Amino acid sequence: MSTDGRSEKTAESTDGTGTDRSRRDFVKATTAAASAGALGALAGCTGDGGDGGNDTGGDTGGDGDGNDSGGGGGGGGGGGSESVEVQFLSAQAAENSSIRSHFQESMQDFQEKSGNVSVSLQTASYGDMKNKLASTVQSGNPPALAESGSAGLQFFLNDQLVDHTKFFEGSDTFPDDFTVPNKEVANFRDQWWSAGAIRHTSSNLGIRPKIFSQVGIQNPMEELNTWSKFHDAIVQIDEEMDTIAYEETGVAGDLESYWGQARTAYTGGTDPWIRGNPDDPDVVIANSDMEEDRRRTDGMIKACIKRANEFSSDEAASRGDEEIPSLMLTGRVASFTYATPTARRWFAVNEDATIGWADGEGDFMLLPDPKLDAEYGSKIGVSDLEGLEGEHGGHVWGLEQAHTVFSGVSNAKQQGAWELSQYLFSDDDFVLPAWGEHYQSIPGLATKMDPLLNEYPDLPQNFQRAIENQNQYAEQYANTGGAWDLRATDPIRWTDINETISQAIAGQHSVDETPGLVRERVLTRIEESG
Amino acid sequence: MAQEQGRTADQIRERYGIGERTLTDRIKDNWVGYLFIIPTFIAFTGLFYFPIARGVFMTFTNASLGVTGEFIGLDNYAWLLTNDLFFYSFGWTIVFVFGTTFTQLGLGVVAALLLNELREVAKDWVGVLIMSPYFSAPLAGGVIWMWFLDSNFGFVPKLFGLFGLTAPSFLAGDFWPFVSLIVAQTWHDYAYSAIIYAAAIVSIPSEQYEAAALSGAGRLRRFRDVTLPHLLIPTIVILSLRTAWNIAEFSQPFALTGGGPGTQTMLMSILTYRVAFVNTNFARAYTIGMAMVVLSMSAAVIYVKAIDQEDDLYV
Repeated sequence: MSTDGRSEKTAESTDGTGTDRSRRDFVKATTAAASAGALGALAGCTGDGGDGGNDTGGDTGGDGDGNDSGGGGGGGGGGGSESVEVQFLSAQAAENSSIRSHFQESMQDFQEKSGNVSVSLQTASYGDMKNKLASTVQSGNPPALAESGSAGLQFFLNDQLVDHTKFFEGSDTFPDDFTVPNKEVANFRDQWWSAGAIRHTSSNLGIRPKIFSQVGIQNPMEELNTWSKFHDAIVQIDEEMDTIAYEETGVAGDLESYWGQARTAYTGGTDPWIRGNPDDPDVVIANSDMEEDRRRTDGMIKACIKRANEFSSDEAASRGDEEIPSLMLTGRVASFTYATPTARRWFAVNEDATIGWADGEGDFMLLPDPKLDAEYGSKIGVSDLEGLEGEHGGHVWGLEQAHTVFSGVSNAKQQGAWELSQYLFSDDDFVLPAWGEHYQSIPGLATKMDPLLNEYPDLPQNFQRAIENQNQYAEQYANTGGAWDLRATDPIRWTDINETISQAIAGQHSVDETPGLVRERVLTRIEESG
Repeated sequence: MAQEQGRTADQIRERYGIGERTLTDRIKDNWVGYLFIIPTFIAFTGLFYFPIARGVFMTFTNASLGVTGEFIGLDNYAWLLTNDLFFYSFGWTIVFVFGTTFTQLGLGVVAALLLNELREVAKDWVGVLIMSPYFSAPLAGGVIWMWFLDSNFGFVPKLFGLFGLTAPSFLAGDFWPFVSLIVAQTWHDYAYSAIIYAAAIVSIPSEQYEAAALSGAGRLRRFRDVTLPHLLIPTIVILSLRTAWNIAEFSQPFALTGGGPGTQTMLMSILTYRVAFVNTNFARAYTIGMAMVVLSMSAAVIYVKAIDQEDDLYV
């Protein structure tokens, strides 16, 4: 007798029931083979599925060449009558239910107008966009058009985007009609890497009139137009009222408020952080060779942290902008500097909210970010700023909404994607309701501003004021990072600058050492990224 | 023994018919079994080992968003070892993991003992109650705790307010974010320990308790001398698995603090996410992932060694 159980079993089977064994073996072998086959099929499914979405399988428009030649005119018929489906990945369409419905209806509208281009609209939040794009591009199945934001620049540097210059050359609209921020955003070292942002918002000062009127403010445009005056008002609120006088949106991802503040220490739209030749840029932060500008830039970094420490809640370093409307409409926050033109987010919290001063009874009002005045440095305790002055200004979102056409799809799809982007920029049926009603914003083409104002003459105060801010102090309102032309623009903005300031607000390092840390991190990043 | 009887190992194998067989022999004898293993082998290789190997290789490249990258040697490891935030998150991850794991272990024992004392019907209901956090999605757990602790609209600060007290900033102030994350994570997963311990306690022969009682051992003594030795092996399993899982835990801490305020509660898992999807540097993100793997493997080795030594006491 065998001591090995397995051998014993085999022996029994062989001895007594040869036929059974054979049948069982057959069934087992068949099952195993079927399992292996199923797994193989599964592997096939998960394998190189990218081909289907690319030039060969996905080109339902027939031969790409045919469409290519026809589409070269920049928005013509697209070449022949064969249809093509364009995958469009949008974050804007996920911002709220109203704009989502408008996007969905507009895709139908576009399809009818274009005749042979249909759209498969997919959405992802701005936070998830990089994640989603990374996986689709890595799998070889990119969308034809995506709101890739600044991640698109990375794709462009990796040769995964179309050089949009070829589209622009055949267009009367692009880039001539772009807004000023869009001209900076869509261009990288003289190459048009993106179709631009279809809309802009900007960062401004937001106040609660009901609170500011109680400390004697009657004309906020005048009485809060400098940082010193604003400082005096929030000191009074802080001392006299049970409310957060000023709340910094200090989580790194929402410190665009600081980007706006930083611009107010300058005039003429001078970049507070990085200038000059992108191959060997001048980093202004903590740069002793640029003493006066260093004082302006470092001073505003320190002022941001000090203001947060003195007037904001303990949660400031974690505070996101989405939380502000509910806090302000319930009287718990008096002011912040992440106010945008979008009125809908306020009405989403309280549909009866009053936007505007309203004789001091308003719930929320948008003002220009205060300008730097000579006394502010001594008031806030930042000697760097003493004696210096600046203008109103703010950050304009643009890089974040940049739309790009991917090269990993057929020529027909690229052309269809370009036509779709033109529609999103210039078709009144899409543009006017989108930015006048569903998500109040400034259109990406400057020429669309007047039609928008004609269509919607009674804009909410915050939208109206944001437009006036940009008209009045045009150069002072610019996109942060768009003009740097650096490969690592995004990590410099979000991580090296914002995260370091956020750490200081959280008390992880001191106010005074923050500019030096930011500089160190920015220089390391530039050196690494080339 | 064989040597004593003057027989070699080969002679013994020959005597009992267990002569060594070649791989080919074994495949011939058991080809059906091997056939069954093939799908699993392929699945594990393709979906588990290959991604691991590829990931390890990726740490030697500069792979970023959408590109495979080029070989850059040990640059990513050099970056890791000179990065302040990595060291900070490494230290905080260790505190978080051990704080969470050992609290889960303690609560798990208590819950298991409690369950063991209950009658059948009550045991079922209390069991469901105890297990429910474990079966909720970690992201949902984060939101639940957010609503519980948030300074503006949270339940706990409101409760403090009812008594005229001011609650600390549980998610932002001083040491509270650290405590909050450990408590929330313990709440979510302590039931895992409870399940394992409950099963171990049920399987302890009642004769051992009776014998101990007859020898005059009180409740505490019976727990120490009978129950605890039976819980040693489950403890190794729980410690090893929970340590690994807590190191990799992302959803709930991310939902609760996102690594903030500032970067105070930046766990390695959150740092990995940020390096990958904010800075779009996938190679460096994977390098941090390697550090997480090393950390969990080291912890497992330490646990096994420690319990081995402890086990000797009872032999």
